[in-house]
Amino acid sequence: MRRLAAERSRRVGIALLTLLLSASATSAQQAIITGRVTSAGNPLGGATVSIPALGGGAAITDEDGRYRLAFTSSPEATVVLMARAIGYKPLRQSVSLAAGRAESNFVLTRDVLALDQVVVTGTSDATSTRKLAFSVGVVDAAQLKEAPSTTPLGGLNGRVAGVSVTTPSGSPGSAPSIRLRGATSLTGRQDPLIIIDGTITRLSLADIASEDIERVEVIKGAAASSLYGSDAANGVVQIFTKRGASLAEGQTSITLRNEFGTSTIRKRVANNTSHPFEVDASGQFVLDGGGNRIVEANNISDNAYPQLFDQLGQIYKPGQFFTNYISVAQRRGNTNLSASFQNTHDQGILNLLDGFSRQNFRLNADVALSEKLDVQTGAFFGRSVADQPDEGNVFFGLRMLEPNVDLTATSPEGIRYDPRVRQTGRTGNVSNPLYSAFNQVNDNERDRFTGSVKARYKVLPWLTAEGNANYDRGNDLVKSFTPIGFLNSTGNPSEGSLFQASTSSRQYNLGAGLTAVRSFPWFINTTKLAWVYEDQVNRRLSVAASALSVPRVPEFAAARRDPANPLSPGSFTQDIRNNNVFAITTFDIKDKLILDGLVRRDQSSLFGEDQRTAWYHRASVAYRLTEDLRIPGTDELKLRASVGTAGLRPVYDAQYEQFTLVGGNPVKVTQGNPDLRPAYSREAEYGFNVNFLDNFSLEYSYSDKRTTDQILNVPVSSVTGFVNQWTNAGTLRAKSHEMMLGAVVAERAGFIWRVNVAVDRTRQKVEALAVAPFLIGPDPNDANTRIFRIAEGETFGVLYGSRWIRTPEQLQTTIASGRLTGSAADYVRNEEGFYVVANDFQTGAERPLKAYDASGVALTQIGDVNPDFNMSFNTQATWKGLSVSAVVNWVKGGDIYNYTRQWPFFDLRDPVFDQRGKPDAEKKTVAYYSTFYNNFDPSDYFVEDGSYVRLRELAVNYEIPARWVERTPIGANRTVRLGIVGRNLFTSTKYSGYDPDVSGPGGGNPFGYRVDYFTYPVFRTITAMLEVGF
Amino acid sequence: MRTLRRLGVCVATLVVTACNTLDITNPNAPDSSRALANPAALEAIAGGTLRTFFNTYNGLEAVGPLTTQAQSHTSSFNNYNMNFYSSVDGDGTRNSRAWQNDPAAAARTSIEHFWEGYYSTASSAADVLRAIRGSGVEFDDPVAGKRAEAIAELMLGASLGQIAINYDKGYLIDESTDLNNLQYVDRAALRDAALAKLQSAATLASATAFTTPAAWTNGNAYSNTRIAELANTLAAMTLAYWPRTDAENAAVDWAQVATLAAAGLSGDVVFVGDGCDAFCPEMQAWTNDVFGIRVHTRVANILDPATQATPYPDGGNPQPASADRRLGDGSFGTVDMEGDYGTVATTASAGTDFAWSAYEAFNPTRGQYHQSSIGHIRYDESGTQSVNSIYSGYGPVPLVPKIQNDLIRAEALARSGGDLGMAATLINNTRVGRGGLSAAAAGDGAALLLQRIDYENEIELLSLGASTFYNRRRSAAGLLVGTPREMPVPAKELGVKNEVLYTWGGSGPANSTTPP
Repeated sequence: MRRLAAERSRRVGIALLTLLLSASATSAQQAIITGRVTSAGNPLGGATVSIPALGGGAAITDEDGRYRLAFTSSPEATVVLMARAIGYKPLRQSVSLAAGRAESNFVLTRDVLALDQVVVTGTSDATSTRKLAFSVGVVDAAQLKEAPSTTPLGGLNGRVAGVSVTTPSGSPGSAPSIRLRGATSLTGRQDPLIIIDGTITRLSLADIASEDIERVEVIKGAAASSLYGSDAANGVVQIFTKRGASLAEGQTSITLRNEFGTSTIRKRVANNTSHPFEVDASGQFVLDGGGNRIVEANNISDNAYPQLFDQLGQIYKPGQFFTNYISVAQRRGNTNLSASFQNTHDQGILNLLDGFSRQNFRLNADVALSEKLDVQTGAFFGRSVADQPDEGNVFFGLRMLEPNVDLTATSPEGIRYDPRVRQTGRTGNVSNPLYSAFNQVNDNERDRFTGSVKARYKVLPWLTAEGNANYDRGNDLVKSFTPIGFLNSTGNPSEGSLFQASTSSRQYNLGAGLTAVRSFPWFINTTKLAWVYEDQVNRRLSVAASALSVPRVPEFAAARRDPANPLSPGSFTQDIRNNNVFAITTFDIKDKLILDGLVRRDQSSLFGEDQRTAWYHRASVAYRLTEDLRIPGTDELKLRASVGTAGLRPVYDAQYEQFTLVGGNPVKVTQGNPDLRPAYSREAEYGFNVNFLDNFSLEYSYSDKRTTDQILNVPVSSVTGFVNQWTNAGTLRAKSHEMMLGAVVAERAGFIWRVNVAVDRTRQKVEALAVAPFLIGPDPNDANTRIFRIAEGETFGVLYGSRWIRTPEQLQTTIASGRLTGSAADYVRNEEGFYVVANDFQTGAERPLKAYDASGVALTQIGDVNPDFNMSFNTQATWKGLSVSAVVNWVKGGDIYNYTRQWPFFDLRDPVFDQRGKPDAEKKTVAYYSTFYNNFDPSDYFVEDGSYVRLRELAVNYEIPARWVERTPIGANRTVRLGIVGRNLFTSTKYSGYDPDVSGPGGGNPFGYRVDYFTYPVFRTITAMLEVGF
Repeated sequence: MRTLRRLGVCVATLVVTACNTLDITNPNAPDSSRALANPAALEAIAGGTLRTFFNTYNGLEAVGPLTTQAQSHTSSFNNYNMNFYSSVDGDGTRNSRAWQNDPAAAARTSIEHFWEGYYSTASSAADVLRAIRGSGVEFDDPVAGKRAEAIAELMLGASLGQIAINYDKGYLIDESTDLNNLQYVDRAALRDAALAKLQSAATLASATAFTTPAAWTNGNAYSNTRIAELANTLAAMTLAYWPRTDAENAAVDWAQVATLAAAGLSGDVVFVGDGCDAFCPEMQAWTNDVFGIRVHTRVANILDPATQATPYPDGGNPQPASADRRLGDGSFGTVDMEGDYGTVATTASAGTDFAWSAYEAFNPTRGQYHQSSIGHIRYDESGTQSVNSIYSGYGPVPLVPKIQNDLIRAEALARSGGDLGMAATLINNTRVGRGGLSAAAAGDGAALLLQRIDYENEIELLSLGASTFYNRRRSAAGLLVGTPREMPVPAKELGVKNEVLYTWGGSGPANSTTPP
């Protein structure tokens, strides 16, 4: 059977070749092929019908599914006609191409498992996923539309194995962070290269509307991403926005979609509602002559406050969420276009703050100017405003508050949200978040413009030239204002402050290429030569005033400019240029063996001046085994392997020798490095794809990724006067297993239930390090969170700190080290599992004891943030007009370091201090628990299991039957869908903080450092949806 | 044809674009070629060494732990590891800690601050000297060139002196050093080299009349004479503060110290803080804050033994009534401040240097030894802790006050069998003049005079760098058992050189042996 098919293909090829070669010698005659494309008895508009071997000349079906193809042809050639529609399996049919008319009708079936998608990312030309030699994840609009994520790539979560998406802050309008497979960088970010409609962008993803996305393609590492060179070791995510290309010929489609709902805090974090102080008969604190509370002799926190307030209820309020989206798309003749406008408002969950608002406008238009020349254009404008919290005041100060403070109280002097919340014996860590939200301004305004144009010219039937120009510009204005007289927690007024920073980024990329597709008897070769130029300019100007002269003037006219309060300006300019060329060739041998190779040369201004050039390459092979060997129950089995290289570029100023000007005096900071190279990632990916029993697909990939020449900012000898130098100094290795199982669980008349399961597991290790071990953390400017150790041979993502003695072995070792005296008999394990001095047990002197190793060192590994595995379930069921979709994420294992518990220990604010309800003998003193505070140094007491299962999305939508719609004012020939959408609905976890999906402050590597550190918590949003189609 | 022309224009545009250079000069920060070739820039670097030295000398990252180790101040905060290194640990497993000289230890930064700050100063100073003496950069104004040279030589010597005082070993660098072949030298060699550089600086400064720009100290200009005096004082400090033990203290050439100090400061050398934008009196900003860091009860007790018990009792110490006018009755500030700070509004008996606060700054369960009722407010000029006072890093602070030179000279005289009458006079400048205490006299004898000097050191030099309260107490067995008496080469530096980690203090030796 296979042999017959191959023979048929060969004959068709020969016929086509003959046809082409003889075209010029034969008198022109017209062959017209017409027909209809349907599915399940319904017409399929927007389907493409073409003769692939001829290239170009495709016809688009109209709303009745009809098409018409006209060719100049010689008589009696047999060709293969293919019909393709998004979401359906393509179908090929032979037809005799002769003068006159012929008819060929197609009946397509749904491609529920998306086995026949076409991708362009990382390939030489548009390629069916069946013929890919590496893994490419695809998520299309059909999957995204049920519950469009509030962030543009949030929809990848749970739909592509090996993809992690997190929002470092839950603050509305925050951009997500994405990591594909294992880490490539020890200290840098892991974000992949993002390309939107051909625009290489490094600006915020938060500007993009999910509803605009037609398709997202994801390649996860160098084995696939070599085509993108020195900026692609983290993988590539390519986003394609809607262009109206899938509409039926002559169709105009208008969609109006509205969501309206509320956001709420998902979980409450408990406070200590008891205290250890003396109280009088009325429950009020007894004070000494100095106004201090008096600690009871037993020093146990088991007394009730006279009054408690629901502070979390005062801070976190249900916030409004709505989005209005309208799109107009049309396909007519040689033109298709799509225009959309979106208005979104996400208030978030903080009382008194407006949250995030965004208005987006997008216009894409494609026109075929002739049979040989087509042009694609696109323009996007977005504007957003975010009213943000001062996270330090809100989320930090809130955790330090005693529960007897009413945050909504107005002071006797009329000060709303009285800020004077500090009580004696407490530190200045407290603050009233409502006072801050009411009086301070923290605004962020963004404007974004993107424009693109791409032209393709068919030079010859087998040769296409293309060029593109893409432009991306973003302006970001941050403004912070603290008015004069703003009170701190003790009531001291400030002199006010004002800060404003304007950042503008402009970048464009140009490209030109030639693509040749030649068919030969045994194979089809696709070869592409291309040039890519990137030019980026970032500029920033900031001014800060540390004191103001007059109230209620939030501009610099109000700034004081005395010697003690000068205006502080700052600015930078960054020019970045990259000039790259590549060549890629792919051999499709008899439809079953795919060979692919590429080479790329990158030149970048970011590389050291003596290392301006870097080379990358890739070799891939895929073998569709079932083309040769029939395996019962198996529709297709493809084996594949790919080895590729890609890079990570240094940051802008890494190569330069730098002095900084302090008080006008040059001071050495960074030692230059003219030999600085991009990090070099070499990945081998092996895997298979198997489709079986008609309704199942399984994709497995194993990735072994070794990233050498890690770009590290390392210390240099202080004797040089410099502080650091960027250098290539390490190797990080990551091994990942990924599996994606797709299943059509049920498919009956009108009912389809599809389930996808994605699983991945990654192990990563620092294989070599040419510098001394060091600690890092998520925020390079915050020493508090530098608790992750980078050392040769060490797992990447381990936490270092001290442990408390919980085992007999720890006790013995600590005694042997000399850090504890006596013998094991002198110590006893208490009710909480910690060893304490036996004589102190159940006395006021009881304290936990720290564990030391044999040499008296307490520092050791206390945690590992790497999950055992990630698993996601993504399901979609439709029955007639009703559809239900859900995404569930399961993260098993991986530790979190919880600073939001540890720091409040300083002020006794953790519920563990509350001893009420315990038998008296088991009550522990405040001093006992305060020991765990450990001077804010990390200890295993605050390491928590970060496992969770989350119902990330749940959408229930119903399309009202047309007969009902006709009776409404909306009228006939309209579609109306109603639905309920829930995001982050439910999370099952033992983690004690707001949410286990945390990544620490500062925006470093969000996946390497699972640190909970007073950030805006992820919240739940439930909305009602109404969509009307015209 | 038109299409071809358009195509040609496009191709030309692309070609031109592709020819944009990839060699981009960083406009955001200067490099050596821009910072070291220009006389004006060299002058700025020379002036900047004064600022870097001042900021390092007052940097809380190192001085904070040293002052709490010396039990001069006490901090319930663990900022800058002050609490961590201070005294008894909460878990009861030790007395005091060794320096945590491990790249994985959070508290390692306390060892790095001086090392990096002083070598940054020394490196910049050496760059200036190399440009002037080696590269022959010519100044339009020869006096400016001599001034830059003298300041650079001064700061090179001062930095090496501080490395000698604080570390067990280090590098000797100057304008002729080959950085590729550097070896450690011991602390004695560092001390001697520093002494030579400082004496050379004094000679250079004395040879050319100049005035330093006010911007170099953010407010005060100094004559070449004062710069020469400063060099002599720093030289005397290098010798006097170098000893780690009684034996080393006894071996100091105190006569030479006395000679150097006699040629030392005749007035203060003052820097003015700018809120820590560039000039940062960080030590004073924290220690002169009633809440941030308190004076240790050990010091409070010697000021007023009758009221200020040590250790701190439950309920705190009552308002003082010290015979020393620097504490007085501990009243401070205005009536408005009482509610916020727990202070008593200023009375006629208010002290000049200290304030008493009824408020416990922290929960006493964090360790009562971290509490006292006395705060240091000497450098809080306004007396109100306003946002533009020392509390926020503003205002004048002496790098080295004249009294420090006088007290070193007095001690040198007492220890070397010198003029005890002169020693008593020097002590009485503050003992009687500011403290209102009974006068010291030659007849008190050297031993009593040394006690008087210690007292004045404790009070007068409080919050000024680390030298007196830590360096002098270490050589007089004044530190808790286990407290290190010097710092090891930081782990970061050892890592760069691929050398073995080591430390001082804790259960190990407190310091290196005396170099031969």
